[in-house]
Amino acid sequence: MLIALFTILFLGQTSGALLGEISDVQDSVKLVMPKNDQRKAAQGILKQMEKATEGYNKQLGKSSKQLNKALADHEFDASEIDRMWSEYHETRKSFQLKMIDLRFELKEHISREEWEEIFSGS
Amino acid sequence: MNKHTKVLPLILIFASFLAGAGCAGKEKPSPADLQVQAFEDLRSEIRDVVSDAGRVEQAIAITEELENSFDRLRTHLAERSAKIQEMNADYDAPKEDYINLYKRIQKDIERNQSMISNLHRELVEVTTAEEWVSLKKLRNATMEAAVTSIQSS
Repeated sequence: MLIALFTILFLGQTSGALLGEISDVQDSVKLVMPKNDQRKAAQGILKQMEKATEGYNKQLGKSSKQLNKALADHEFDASEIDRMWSEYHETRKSFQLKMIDLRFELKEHISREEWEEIFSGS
Repeated sequence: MNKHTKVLPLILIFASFLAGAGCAGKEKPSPADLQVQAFEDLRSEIRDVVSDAGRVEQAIAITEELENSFDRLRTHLAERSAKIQEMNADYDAPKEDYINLYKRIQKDIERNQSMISNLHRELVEVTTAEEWVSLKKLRNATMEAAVTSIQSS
């Protein structure tokens, strides 16, 4: 349960929701973009986003398990918990920067009109 | 239908399925009601388990602060999510704006983490090791209810 809580705290949504959104965009790309090299490139980047999110979720799961165990102990070691948090913050920062980079790479392959259609209502 | 509203029904269906098990035919309480009830149950358990009246009062105050923090977090997350979606929809949004937004989010996250860590430490400090173990089941149930409530909002 801590895994879900941390994901909400840090990403603003559940890990399933983020993957769900990527999956929705993958579907929209198929509908909106013609079958060409640009679409193929966009799909490749979305796949990378999916993999990065899965990897991050896996890491989040590990960190949450460690934290859960440490926090459950009445005689917890505060400095050890602080170390775990700071390690986790570093993982999240690099995940966020990676996702921002990929978002801008994605844009390179999608026209303004297509972008508006893909993300309309979002 | 936006991306969130596409995903949300699945979460709600799953949460409803869990919440509905064993109570078919009855009106189901909302996730927010379940959260309120879970915190009430936890406070009731604290009154039963913690032996000293002064520490009971302190522990209750901590859970109230935690509950309020979850309520504030729910509002905050909705605003954050809306801002990210708005920026993403803008084809011309510069990368710098994204990085600045995520820096602000980073500060929020660190504040959240610090708030939760402090409340956790305070709760540990006002309970004995035995009381802490006795409260484990309800602590987990309360957290689960809070997460479900946030997911469904």
